[in-house]
Amino acid sequence: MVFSSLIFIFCFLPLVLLGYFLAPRNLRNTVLLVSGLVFYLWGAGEVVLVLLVSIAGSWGCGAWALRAAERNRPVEKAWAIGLGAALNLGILFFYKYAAFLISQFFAGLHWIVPSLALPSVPEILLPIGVSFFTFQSLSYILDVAWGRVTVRPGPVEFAMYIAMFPQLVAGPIVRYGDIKDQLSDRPTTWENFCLGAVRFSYGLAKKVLIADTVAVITDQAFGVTTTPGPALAWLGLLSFTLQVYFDFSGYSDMALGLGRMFGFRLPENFNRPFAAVSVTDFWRRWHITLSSWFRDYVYIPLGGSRTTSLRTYRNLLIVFLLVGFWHGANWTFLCFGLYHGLWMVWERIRHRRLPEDFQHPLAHRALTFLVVMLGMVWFRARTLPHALGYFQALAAAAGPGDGLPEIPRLNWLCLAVGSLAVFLPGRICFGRWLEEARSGWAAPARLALLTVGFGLSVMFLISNDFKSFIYFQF
Amino acid sequence: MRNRTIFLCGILFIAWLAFPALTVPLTAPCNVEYIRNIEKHYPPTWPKLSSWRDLLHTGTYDQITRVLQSRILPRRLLIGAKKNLEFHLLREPRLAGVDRGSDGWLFLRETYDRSWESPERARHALDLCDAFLTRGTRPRTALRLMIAPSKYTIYPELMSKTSAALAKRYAWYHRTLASRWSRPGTPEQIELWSAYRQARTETSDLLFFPKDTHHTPLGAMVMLRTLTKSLDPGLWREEDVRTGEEFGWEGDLAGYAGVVLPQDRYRRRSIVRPGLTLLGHDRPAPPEDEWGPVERFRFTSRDRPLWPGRTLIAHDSMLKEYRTDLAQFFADVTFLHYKDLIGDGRFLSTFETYDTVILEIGERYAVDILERLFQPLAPVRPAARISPAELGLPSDRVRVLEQNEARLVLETLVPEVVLRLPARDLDPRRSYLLELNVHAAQGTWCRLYLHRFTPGGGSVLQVEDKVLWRGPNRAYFYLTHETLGYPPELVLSQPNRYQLGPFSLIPLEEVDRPADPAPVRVWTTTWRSRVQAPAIPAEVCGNSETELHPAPGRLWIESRGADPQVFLSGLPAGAGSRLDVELVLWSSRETLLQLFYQSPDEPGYSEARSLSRSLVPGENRLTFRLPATAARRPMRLDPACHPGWYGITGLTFGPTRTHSGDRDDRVSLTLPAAASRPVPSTWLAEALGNSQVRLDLQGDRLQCLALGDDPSLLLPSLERSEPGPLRLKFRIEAPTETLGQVFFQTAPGQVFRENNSRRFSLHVGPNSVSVDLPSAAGLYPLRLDPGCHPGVYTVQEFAVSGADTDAP
Repeated sequence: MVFSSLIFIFCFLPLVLLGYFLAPRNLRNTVLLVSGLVFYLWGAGEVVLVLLVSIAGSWGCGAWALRAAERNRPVEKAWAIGLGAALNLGILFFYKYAAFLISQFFAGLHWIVPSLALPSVPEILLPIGVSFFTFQSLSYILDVAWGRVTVRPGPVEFAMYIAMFPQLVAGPIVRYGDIKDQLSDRPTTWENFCLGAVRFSYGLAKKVLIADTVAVITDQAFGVTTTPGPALAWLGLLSFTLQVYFDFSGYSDMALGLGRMFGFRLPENFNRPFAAVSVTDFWRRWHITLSSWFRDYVYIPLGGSRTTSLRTYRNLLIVFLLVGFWHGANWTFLCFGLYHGLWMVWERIRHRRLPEDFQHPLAHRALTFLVVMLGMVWFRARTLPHALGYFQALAAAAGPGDGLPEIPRLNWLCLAVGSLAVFLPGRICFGRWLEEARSGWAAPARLALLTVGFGLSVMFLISNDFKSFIYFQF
Repeated sequence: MRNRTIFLCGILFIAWLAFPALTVPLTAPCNVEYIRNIEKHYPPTWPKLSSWRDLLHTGTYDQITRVLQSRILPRRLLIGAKKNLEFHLLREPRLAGVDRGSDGWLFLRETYDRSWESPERARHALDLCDAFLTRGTRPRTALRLMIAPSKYTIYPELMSKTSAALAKRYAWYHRTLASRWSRPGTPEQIELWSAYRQARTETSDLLFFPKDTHHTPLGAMVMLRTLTKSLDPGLWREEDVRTGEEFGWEGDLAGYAGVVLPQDRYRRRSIVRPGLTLLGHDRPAPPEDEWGPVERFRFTSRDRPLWPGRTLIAHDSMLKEYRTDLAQFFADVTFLHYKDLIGDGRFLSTFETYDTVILEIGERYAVDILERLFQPLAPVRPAARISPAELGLPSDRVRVLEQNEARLVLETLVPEVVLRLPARDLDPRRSYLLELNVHAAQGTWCRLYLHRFTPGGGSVLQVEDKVLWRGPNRAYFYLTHETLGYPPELVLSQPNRYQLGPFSLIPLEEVDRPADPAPVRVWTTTWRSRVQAPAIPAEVCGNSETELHPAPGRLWIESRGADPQVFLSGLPAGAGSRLDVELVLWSSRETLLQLFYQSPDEPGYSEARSLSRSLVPGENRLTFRLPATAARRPMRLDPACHPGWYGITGLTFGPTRTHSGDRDDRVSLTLPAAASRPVPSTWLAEALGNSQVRLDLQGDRLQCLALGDDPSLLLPSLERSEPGPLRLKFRIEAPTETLGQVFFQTAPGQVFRENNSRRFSLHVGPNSVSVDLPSAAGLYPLRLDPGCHPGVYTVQEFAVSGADTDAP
């Protein structure tokens, strides 16, 4: 189940809201936990058992480590931490990377000994959101290891922290330390509910009206049977860049809105990334919870930037290779990470990191957008040859290719509206503004969002589901 | 102020969330109707939970999602709103394949953008048509082809610039057809383009509906006039055309685009030819096809000319509404939708029974239809198979009546049902034909999606369309070995009832063809050889589901389950690179036979070393080509995948035929035919029920649960070699006092009629029924209506006696 589905909006959410607000305060976490498991079960089926194993294992190992720490048994604590980390990394590795690595190994063997008969690699179904919930569990285990968490959470509390449906399958990646107080006590007020509803509607409109609509153009450019010409390649790349942003940030807005309805204040995940003036700046604004996770749990433990320049560059490259690989088990994602890592290294060499370093921010903003957009080729391409072919198409080096297809006016309109996000001033963060603003414009904006935005989103959702029968051919 | 607006936001949000649930009583019926009528879907049903494990299955939740989504929202309102917003506000030039022209005209893009067509294919189809006529054995049958022009060819100036440019790109299609049509000779053609264009100059009234693909009543009259005048100029009189009242017409294209447009009004026109006498009008009882029943009119007249002889008009949608108008010009005319014709090269048999055959074909599908009607039968050389049991079915979109190794009987509830075929590892040196055996209750079409992945990681999608004619169809799809590396998908286009047999993979183009086999020592074994010394006897035994009954000249195999196995051992060695096994086998039913052989390297039986053949009821002559090394090993013969009786009358082993056909060194032996045939004990198992019946075979008892007052069973034809009086006896247990009926046919393909039926009365409880049927009955399928009340009927002890059939 996803937030931008009719079943979620009109069935699941009303029932959970009813259950949550009618339940006594001490049962509200249980309501959220059960609803999170049902939410996961709905989309993932029996894989919910993996989630339960991860929750139980992480909670158990955390409790064991905390008890060992209380008794001053560092070896036992290390075992507990190691076991908890191995469990979550094992789940992540098995479900996300095992098939890929084995197939690459076999491909290597086949390359060396072509006559070798190799078995086929079994297909492993990827559990939805496995990267998110294992990272959350891992952050808890590591926080316990480093003494940031000293008090053992209750099992329901902890399970709810992992399986809370607003952030279960696509983040934001919430750290236990950031939310532990809210798990036990949070203000569930009418104002929070209303502002959460506004934020949810905003995210829904971003996802349905922009991301899903421009996706039609993306699919034309990156389609299986397409050989795009330069115009289609650039248009497809722009639309994909916008699609990814509106899709993910829309989802994060919905998650934040839902969290707020239930009294949680989840961390922001996006902050106008296309207003970034450098790649470093971009990663401070894009998928903030992921980049900060890697910063705190990988980059800094490796030495961060408080070491020699060469080691810093190495650390950056390691982190971004991992970021790329986190996105998916494919060489293209590794290239995506390496691409960004190399840009980060380059910027560090040039000491261009922060907005205040720039004399011409608009030019740098445009340049950064171009760099990020080009990096999206790695993100979207199916294979390395496909990505290289696409770069050729962008450079008009792959022949004329397919021209611009016939794109409905509605999709052009949505692309144009989405492109505004690139050109708006960097300080405007509409999502936060909707929640916090007290100016005269805020009220009509919120009302318009909840009437027109929500209505149009539902209309688009149901129309996307509609498939007019294929005109009968005889 | 801030608090007030925030408060209002919360209220608005709650109102949105609650709105669909509160309006369910109002919106659910309207949604369901919308899905049925506009989206042509069958509203999904709630999932059935058979065990707790289903709760862990995502399919269960997908199904619930579909059920809820289709019912809880005002779909029609919201979808219509969006479509109209795009159409009217954004002035969208194209919606769902419908192009906007000038003056409010709409055009179906498919009519001028058939990008999958090629000039070669068009020419090929036309050549097939010509070749067909030269093969005809009854030259006095006149074939007249009438291509119904697409709207855009008559009103090209009303297209948008984009549409006109597209139409120009595919103008070759129109030109190819038109150039063939302008050539004299058979088949005679009825040229409508010039007729329509001429009519446009004569009147300002429209010949085509602006928002529809079809012609107006005036356009229809132009078509009828052209058609009749091409037969005999004296048939048509303008005064016979009557103008009726006005009617509103919304147009199929408006509905297809999903927009609401004002209706246009037109005047009805019809033909009334005075002085005609209707001698007969045959029309089957409902339910009818979507495109009309097979209908026959016979007229006579003293003073008005009529086109003589028997005429068959196979039409598309253009003539569908004007059957009664057109019928008045013919002495004896039969109308049917062209999809009800037999395709795949078997059209000739229909063709030859008429004096005149007129085919009305829509321009945009002309190539496709000509190809299907006139293509010769493809060779049948099955090599391996994909069993119907392996097909992946979307359980919420089909009702599966039977699925096993031999067949899949299903009803599709929605259009565009996708069946997933399993992937296969194929020999890279070959290409293949995938043979689809499917019986369709109504004519329709299907589509096969084949994905071919290239080494660079790309993928090519191969889409193949095939027409499915009413009745049995055999369709072929060309494959390369890499195509089946990814599961293909078979799309069944329309809600319909289908019976799918095994898919055969027929190998073609072996690259490394082995040399001609060297002469080998020949040996033969038959079961008669047990009593005749010269041949080397084979040792035979069966598995637990099999009982062997040696009889003079035949080995009877009685299968008591779905997996009978006969093991052949003690077979002497052969030589050479290939070995032919010829088998003559009598089967009691349609089923599947499989021969397993072994190789010296890998003892044991596996699917990879097996060959399959379909069996039809009666005698089957089968040839298997095996590696020669197989001969020295035991073999396993699975004669069927059904219970029943199967008789082997000949089994011959020998080397592969040489190209010269020299088979002197082979000994083949065919045993004399059996004196009497057993009536298949599984005859009842092959019964098919109509939509009001649920069948359950319990041993030799067939239980029919009648859900309505018109339950009906279709029983296969009996094993009768020649006509003769026939007595049908059976016991039937009825739930109430009621009336049953047995319908029979006296000719193939005949409709079941009242005058070809026998009634019998039933009282509550067991009844013995004896029905005498006329001479030809039983040669063709029978229909048994067990009663005319709902309830459970149990039929058993079916016995048939007659001239050549003894009671079982």
